[in-house]
Amino acid sequence: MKKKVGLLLVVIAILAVLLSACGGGQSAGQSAGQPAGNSSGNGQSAGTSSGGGQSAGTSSGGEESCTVTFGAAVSLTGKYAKEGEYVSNGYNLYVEEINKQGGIQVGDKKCKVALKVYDDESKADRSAQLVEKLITEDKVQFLLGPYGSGNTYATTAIAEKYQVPMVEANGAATKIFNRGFKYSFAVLTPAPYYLRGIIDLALDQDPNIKTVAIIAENGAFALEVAGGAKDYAEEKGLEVVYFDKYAKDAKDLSSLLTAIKAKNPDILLGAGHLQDTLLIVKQAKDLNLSPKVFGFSVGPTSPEFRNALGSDADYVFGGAQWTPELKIQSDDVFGTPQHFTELYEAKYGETPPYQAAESAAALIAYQKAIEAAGSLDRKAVRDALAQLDYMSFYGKLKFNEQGMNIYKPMAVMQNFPDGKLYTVWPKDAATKAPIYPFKPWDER
Amino acid sequence: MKILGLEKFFSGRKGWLWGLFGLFMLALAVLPLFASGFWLRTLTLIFLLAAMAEGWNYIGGYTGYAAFGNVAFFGIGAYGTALAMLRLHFSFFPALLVGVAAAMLFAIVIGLPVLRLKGHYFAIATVALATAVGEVADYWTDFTGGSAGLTLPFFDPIEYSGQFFYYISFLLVIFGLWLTYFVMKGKMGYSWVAVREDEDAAKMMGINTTWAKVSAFALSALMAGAAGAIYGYWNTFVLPEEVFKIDYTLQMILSTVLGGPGTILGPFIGAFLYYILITLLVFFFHVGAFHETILGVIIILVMVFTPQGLMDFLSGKKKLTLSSLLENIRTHKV
Repeated sequence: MKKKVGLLLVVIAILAVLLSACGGGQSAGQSAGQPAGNSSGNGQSAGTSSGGGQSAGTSSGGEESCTVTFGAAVSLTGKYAKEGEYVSNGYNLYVEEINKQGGIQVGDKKCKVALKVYDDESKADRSAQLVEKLITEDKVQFLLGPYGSGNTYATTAIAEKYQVPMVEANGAATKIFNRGFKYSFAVLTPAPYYLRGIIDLALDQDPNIKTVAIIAENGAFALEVAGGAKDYAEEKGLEVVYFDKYAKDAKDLSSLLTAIKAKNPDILLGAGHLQDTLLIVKQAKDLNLSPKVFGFSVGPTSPEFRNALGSDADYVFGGAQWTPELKIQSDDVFGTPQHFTELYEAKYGETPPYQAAESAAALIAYQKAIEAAGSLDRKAVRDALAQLDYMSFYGKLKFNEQGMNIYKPMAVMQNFPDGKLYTVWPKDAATKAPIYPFKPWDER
Repeated sequence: MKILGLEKFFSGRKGWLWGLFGLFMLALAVLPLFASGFWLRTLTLIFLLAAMAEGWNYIGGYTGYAAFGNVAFFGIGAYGTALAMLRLHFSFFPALLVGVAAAMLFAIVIGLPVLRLKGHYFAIATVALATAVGEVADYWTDFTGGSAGLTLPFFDPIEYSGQFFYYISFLLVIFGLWLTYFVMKGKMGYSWVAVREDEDAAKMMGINTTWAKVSAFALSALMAGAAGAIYGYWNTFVLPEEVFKIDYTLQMILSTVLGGPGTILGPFIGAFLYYILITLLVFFFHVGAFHETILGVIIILVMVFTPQGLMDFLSGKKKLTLSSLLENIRTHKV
């Protein structure tokens, strides 16, 4: 008798596995033709929405109702948990606001918006698995992006496979978009454009500026930022006197900075992350390296920058995808960056980081494209996205042929001696004029 | 002697097990006709993990060397394939052979010195090695693309990529099972087990232990390298932080130990149970990141009660009763 127990367990285990796999198979059975036939029209996409038959059918009141379902795999745990939370906050805030207004206008009816967010644990393979599930099992109509270039890389390929549009807001690497994809769009300014604002600002302040030094952390994103800055500086007639990269987690950059000091550049630009940005500023002070413009891609706009450096943070510039101070007037659900900020603060109790704003903007891009297409057909919405040209609270939403938003300029923020951060660029959206030049360390 | 019972292949409970296993494989072979893309992807991941676990079983299970750096082979396989496709314009299959050859060559060259170490020293050396190879991929920008990684072309036609990668990974798993069976019934297999049981005695009996260890290491590189090659092409990109993740090493060891190290089916069954369990926890019970905690508890229980893996019971060597569980605890002094 006892002998049978083990065998029985095996049988049960294997059956369980098979059953669960077949369970998945069955629900897919209804949509075996889905990958190829998903563009066959409005009716089908409405029929596959989460509400099922009830949402597609005509309700007894005689008024048609429908739902637009969006899906996203976002990092809610793991190393990008914080950023992922901002992303999901941005998505949720939009959904709440649009549903207050009755939803998205699709043709002559309004559709409520539903959102399905999964946790990808900051892992690319889990992210891919979840997006595949969102498409083939949950039958979401449209996809939103994850956080970070790596996960975006993995998931855009799946969206392309099923011809499901994906508007992402948090993967800035251009390599994602150099693969000829037709269904991927990004609302954020791509990496090579990150430092353009600071170069433009410097030339606007002082047309006699001649030389620039650029250093970058050895990472995919930072190298793209630095490469883009170099190209742009040369295009503007500046001479790039120093261009080099440093190791991730570098603990000492003084030899690099000494070499830069010998070149005496007018502008010093750094592409990296917060920790190395702090290191560069500290060591530049020790070496009395004082360019006229001192700027970084990311770092100076976060509160930690001021906390760690105190008054040494003064006059340093930082690029920003979006700031709550930008002067923009839009007719989207949020209207202005200030109104978005109020709503966000009321709901989440903190100032919205740019990740939340760009994530909400991805849904606005969808809304405007769906309105223009007048249908929920994936192909029609994709075509409308490609044609989109809309001014949102986040900035211009317009995509080039590859699906990148190269039309929205980066904002520039500066740390002022009063201890606050002000938006100083672009000029028409700035709250203060920049302080130029950088006050040399030995005169402070 | 436990793995040498192959002569009684189709008799007793083992026969039952293999029959059941055959049915299961048959079901897997026709599954893509019904299953959704999500299940295809999940099963493809399982196959790749199973293939890596089968490879780890050669060095860790049969030869008894605790290799903690097998992800290096996975990464080298992925990079070798990607570079052959991008720089030499090979199509996928020849490129896969390049990737696998690179991984095996690396295993042989590195194995010769490193396999002289034993116990903890060997384990630490392999961890360090995997980390070092990952760093090389990260910083040798001109050759490997650095931390920006490499972008691979798509499988064409893209609509069938799910099926393609499913079947090719499935074939790799079957190849791995065949390879295990083939090797273990030959002289090479016996020499691996001899090294595990008593390396000095094996040497005195005239077994070339260096060759035994290096061959086990190289064949485990073959499996991991091929899995890496498929993984890179499947994902359409290769990034250092992705393909040199220590998680993969841990997963292949876990799968093997869960299923039963030093057995033919153990790694496959372990990989299957491990990953299906994660998938169920994450996707159907929505436990979120807690799945790692739950999994940890299950693994501890398995380790305590069945240190030889589930194959101990599946193969009928032991009965799944309370007394045998308690006996396990006594004999293994856990």
